[in-house]
Amino acid sequence: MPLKVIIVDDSIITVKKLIVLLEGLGHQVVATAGTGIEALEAYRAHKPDFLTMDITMPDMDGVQATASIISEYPDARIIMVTSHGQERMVIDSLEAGASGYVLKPVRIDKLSDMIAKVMERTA
Amino acid sequence: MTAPFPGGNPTDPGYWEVIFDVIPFPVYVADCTSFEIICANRAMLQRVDAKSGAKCHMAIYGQPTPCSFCRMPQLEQATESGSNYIEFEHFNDRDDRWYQLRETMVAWFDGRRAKYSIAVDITALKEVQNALAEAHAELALKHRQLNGALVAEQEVSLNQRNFLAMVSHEFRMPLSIIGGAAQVLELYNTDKPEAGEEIAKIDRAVHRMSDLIDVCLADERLASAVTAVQLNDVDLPQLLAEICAEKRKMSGPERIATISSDIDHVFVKADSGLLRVAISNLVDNALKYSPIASGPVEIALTSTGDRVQVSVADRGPGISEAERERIFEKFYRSTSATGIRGAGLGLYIVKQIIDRHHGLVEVRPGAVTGSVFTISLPAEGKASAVANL
Repeated sequence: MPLKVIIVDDSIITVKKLIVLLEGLGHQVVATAGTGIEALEAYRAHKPDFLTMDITMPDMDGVQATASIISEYPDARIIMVTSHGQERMVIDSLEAGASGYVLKPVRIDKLSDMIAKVMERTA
Repeated sequence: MTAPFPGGNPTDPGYWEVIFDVIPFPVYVADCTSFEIICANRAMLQRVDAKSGAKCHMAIYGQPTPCSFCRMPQLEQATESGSNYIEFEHFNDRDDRWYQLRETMVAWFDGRRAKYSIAVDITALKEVQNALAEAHAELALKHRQLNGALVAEQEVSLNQRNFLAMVSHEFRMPLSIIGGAAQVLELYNTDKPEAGEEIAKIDRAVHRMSDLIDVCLADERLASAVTAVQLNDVDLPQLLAEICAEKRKMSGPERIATISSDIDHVFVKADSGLLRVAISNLVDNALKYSPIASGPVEIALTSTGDRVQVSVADRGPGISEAERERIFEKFYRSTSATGIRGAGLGLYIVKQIIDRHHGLVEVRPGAVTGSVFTISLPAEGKASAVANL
């Protein structure tokens, strides 16, 4: 059963790579967003099974965008896919409500494991 | 084959490319205003198509517009404050590599302000750091999950306790009405022994139910963090006499022997309600496990140093050594309890109550048969005298 997913990242290259990885895992990318505000709008429109979220973005950053989505949809499953590995970023993201954390470069096995964990945790 | 040296004309980008080519790391120079690449070395060109005139954001990072993470503005600010370079780490999505970048503001020879960037690949180092960061995130997530489970369990436990307390309180009133009615019936019934026996059954059932409610409420009080145990001076022989009188009334006088005691007055600092529940439970257990006509349950009050002991000896099947610690666990039922009603709460409650009074409760085999349960408590004051209660 393919899961519906939204990719949030302002890097076109990352979005393309994630589409290939996620579709390779059998999931369906229903939307992509390049800003925090677009992410919230896409979430409202598609109610995906999970969402991948970058941290550095124009307008609202990924941590704020996560907090906004969670405040509206407390059961949302959000996986941070980022290059930021600093402890503060990790804690801020998890406090905002993220359910998983994957650091770039994203490998398919790492992403697949994290999706399985996130879906299990919030099942 | 070596590239010919261009003749020492620094305004020629080729001059610099030859110099930069000896640097083993990727290097490029870009115009700060137009983002056009002025020149790039061989190590750079091997990685990306950063030819002269291309936009740096497109050629290096694949972005059609200047990158959101572009450090040009920061570099301008650094230059204004007296420093002409910045260093940072950056992940390039295009080749999935981590770089340590040093970018320097330079005045190019044709008058343009330009950025000179040198990148060192630090992917191997970052992968180790990232594995640690991911493990840290995983731990933080597990911690959050466990915390959530704990809060949910506490909530369920609180709801159970509240429900139990509410139900127990609600049961008291109808029970006392039934008990009172049974006593009134007994007054009217002077000549029908069968009816008298039925009334006695009602009375025993009411007392049993009342004792169960006491146990439930004691558990609720002990579990509730907000309710403190209320300690007062309790006259222990007096309390024992009251409990025995009540139990004799219920089970028959022959089933409980006269209390043997080497002291007639001793006070303990205790919550009298809770201590009554603890001792009552031990006596009830002894009565429950001692077969009818096996002889009376024996209760003794003794003192040793500054402690006082209440022991209750039954004539039941005894408790194996392996079970002696476990019988005080919540919901644990001894293998010898088969066929005897109980929830596995009684001895747990006894231990909880005695622990709160800085006392000890233990069990040992009886002299001939059965078991002897002993509660030991710190004594407040006592007067020795042989007395029978």
